[in-house]
Amino acid sequence: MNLSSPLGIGLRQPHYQQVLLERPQIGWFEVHSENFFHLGNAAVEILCEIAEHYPISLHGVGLSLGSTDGIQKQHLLRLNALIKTVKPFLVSEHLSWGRLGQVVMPDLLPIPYNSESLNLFCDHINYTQDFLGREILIENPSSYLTYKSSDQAEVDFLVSICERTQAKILLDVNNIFVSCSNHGWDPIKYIDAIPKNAVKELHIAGHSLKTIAQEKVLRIDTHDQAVCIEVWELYKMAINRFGIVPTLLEWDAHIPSLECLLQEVYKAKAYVFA
Amino acid sequence: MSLLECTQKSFYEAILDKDSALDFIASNYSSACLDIYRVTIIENLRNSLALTFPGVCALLGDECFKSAAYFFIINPNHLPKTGCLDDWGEDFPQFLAKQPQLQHLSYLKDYAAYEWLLHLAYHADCATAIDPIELEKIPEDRIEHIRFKFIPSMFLYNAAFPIDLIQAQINQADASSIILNQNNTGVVITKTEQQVMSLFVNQDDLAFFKYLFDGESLGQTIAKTTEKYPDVNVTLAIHFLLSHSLIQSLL
Repeated sequence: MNLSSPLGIGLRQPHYQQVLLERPQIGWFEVHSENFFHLGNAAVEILCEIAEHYPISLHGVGLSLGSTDGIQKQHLLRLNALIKTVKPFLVSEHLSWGRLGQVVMPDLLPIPYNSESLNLFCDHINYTQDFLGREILIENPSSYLTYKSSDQAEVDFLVSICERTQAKILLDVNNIFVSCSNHGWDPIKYIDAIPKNAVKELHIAGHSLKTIAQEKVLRIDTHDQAVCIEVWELYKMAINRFGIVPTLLEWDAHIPSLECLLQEVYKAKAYVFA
Repeated sequence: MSLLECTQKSFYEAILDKDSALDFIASNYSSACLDIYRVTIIENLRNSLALTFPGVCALLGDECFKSAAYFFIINPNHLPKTGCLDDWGEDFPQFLAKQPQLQHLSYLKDYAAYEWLLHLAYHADCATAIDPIELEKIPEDRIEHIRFKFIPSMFLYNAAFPIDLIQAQINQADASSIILNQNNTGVVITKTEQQVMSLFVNQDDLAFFKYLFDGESLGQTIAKTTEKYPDVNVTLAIHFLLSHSLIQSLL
């Protein structure tokens, strides 16, 4: 799809009417798929109206691709129905899990990086892509802990997934910075380890700090503030490596005015068009 | 059980029980690290409840609502079953009714159950109602046998308390002044042009609608309703259904 601009923002409820009325200059919008699973509600009607004017990306948070209990077929059916309704140019999910048996924990929980989880994750992506009849993107997570059972680097795991499933990467630059800071990984090596043609979307976002012990501060992926300078610098590296790919600014808490969001994402122009 | 299954099970148990073993975590400060996920899960669920039950939130106040939501959430039986949080929250009214600390708010469960139906109506599929002329076309000898299929966003509720008064007080942001007598309120909830509406009705009309809603034929419905409410005005009740575009089809 040809985008009028590679820059997009997350479409959130407080801005629906303003977007419809003013049609801001932005290349595309992204929404969380699960917020639109009830196709009869007003939000879906508005989304369809907005989709007549802007490309839409569907970003899932609830499929739980890393769950040992498999994929819920009902979830895929609903996602597929939404895809048919909205006709998104991208569909993405996360390198995470959140369901055990019939119980869902609504968060993007980390998975251990080892051969067992790689096989399972690839099987679930293949099943999902076959079911939907299209490619999906997988986003690298922000994480706050690592597992004893991990024996691979996260980035190697992510690259292996792409090689084995033909899925592409939604590279969240803020998540790279957050996870690398929390676990002592090298963010530059992380970006350099990803094949140049594997990334089809970038995310940028703000995060916050949390002191969990004396002299131990974690970065938390809160999406509640402007993008920090270190993430912009990583974004620059990412653009240099992967070229100009659709870039989304995420801002999900303490949501500012639409003008403020646009101003923030326009900062990316300095890197995209440099 | 595989290593991955063990790890996920341990993670789940640790989310629900702070004293659970964390020997699957490699990071230092494992308890504090895990707590970030625990807090996010609880916050996500609490925010979802606050969106679905804004009136209950107003009636209880933020702090009390947060506390009630927390105790609801940490019971594993109450956790969501799907990845779509709009599907979740049905058990919250019943949970509220069972809380000893909330017994003095006898109307709370009623209002919560009402808000759940508003939520269902909002998310229900849209449907076109029949043209009233369709009903007139039915031959006289068939009319008592017809059954109604209602639009998906129609819900009936019989509250033990005056929902309309409670709603008015919430809207005036003065929930403290609610003085209620137990007084049944019939409500027909529906959605028209994406606006969810509450139509307050008498007990006789509600009984009439309920029989139809449950699949009784028009003839059976009239017989059963008039047995209990001899003064029910069937013509007006049917006019109500037609004028509010509640009938999707005739069966």
